[in-house]
Amino acid sequence: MASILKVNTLTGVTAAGTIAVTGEGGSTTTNLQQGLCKAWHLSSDAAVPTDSFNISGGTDNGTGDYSYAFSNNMGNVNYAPSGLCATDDRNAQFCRSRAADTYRIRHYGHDDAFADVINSGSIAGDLA
Amino acid sequence: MTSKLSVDTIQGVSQAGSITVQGEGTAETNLQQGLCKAWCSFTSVSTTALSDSFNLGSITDNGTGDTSLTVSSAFGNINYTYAGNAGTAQCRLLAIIATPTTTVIRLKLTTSTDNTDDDEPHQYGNMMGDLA
Repeated sequence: MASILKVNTLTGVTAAGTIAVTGEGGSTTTNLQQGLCKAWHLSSDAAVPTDSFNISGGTDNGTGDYSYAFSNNMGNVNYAPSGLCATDDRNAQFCRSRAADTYRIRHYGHDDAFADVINSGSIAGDLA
Repeated sequence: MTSKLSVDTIQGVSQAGSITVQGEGTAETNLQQGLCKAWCSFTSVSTTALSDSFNLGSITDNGTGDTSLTVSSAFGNINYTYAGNAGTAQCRLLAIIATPTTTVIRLKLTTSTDNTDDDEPHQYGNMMGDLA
């Protein structure tokens, strides 16, 4: 029997921020809140978001050096950012620093020189 | 009318592990498939350790730049993904080495300029795929 639940907000009963979800195999559960991406963005080489979720804006700190601010802050600095840059060259992106309200990424070419590139990111972790 | 559902566990009816969610536009997506199944923030400098994580049971230091991550709840197969990055001031390359198992994935971090193995204090990753 198919069923449709229409709801605008989900919250846990025992703990408001914890809801278990049965996994694909049906034998284990995962956690809804822990599994949700808390922020993402696709941004220009000048730190202007083209599209995003929970990102209030970007800052161009210099060549290959961008910061992005969250609309809803993270609960601590131990979250896990990931992302890639878009370029025809062999560039790499990594997270330089994290704060509860912003994170900073850097881009290097294969020659270890800074490079301005289209960049993207997603954030896993605990919201405040 | 606003509505709020308070619930501790969500499970599909037709299939326990499959719930359809209306997307932002006209398409639908799948709740379980869209959830990140594990994520981590860790250091491999001095003592390799997790600073925060979800569904990570342990972390193992196999040598310089060589780290294994073990999930608590196993994946249903080995065809899951790991997306991550590492670095502080220089470019680093991160790769999956060895064939993953449903519980363990092994990572290697190297410098981009001379391809030497490297430990870094700030490493991050997330894993997507099907749980068992």
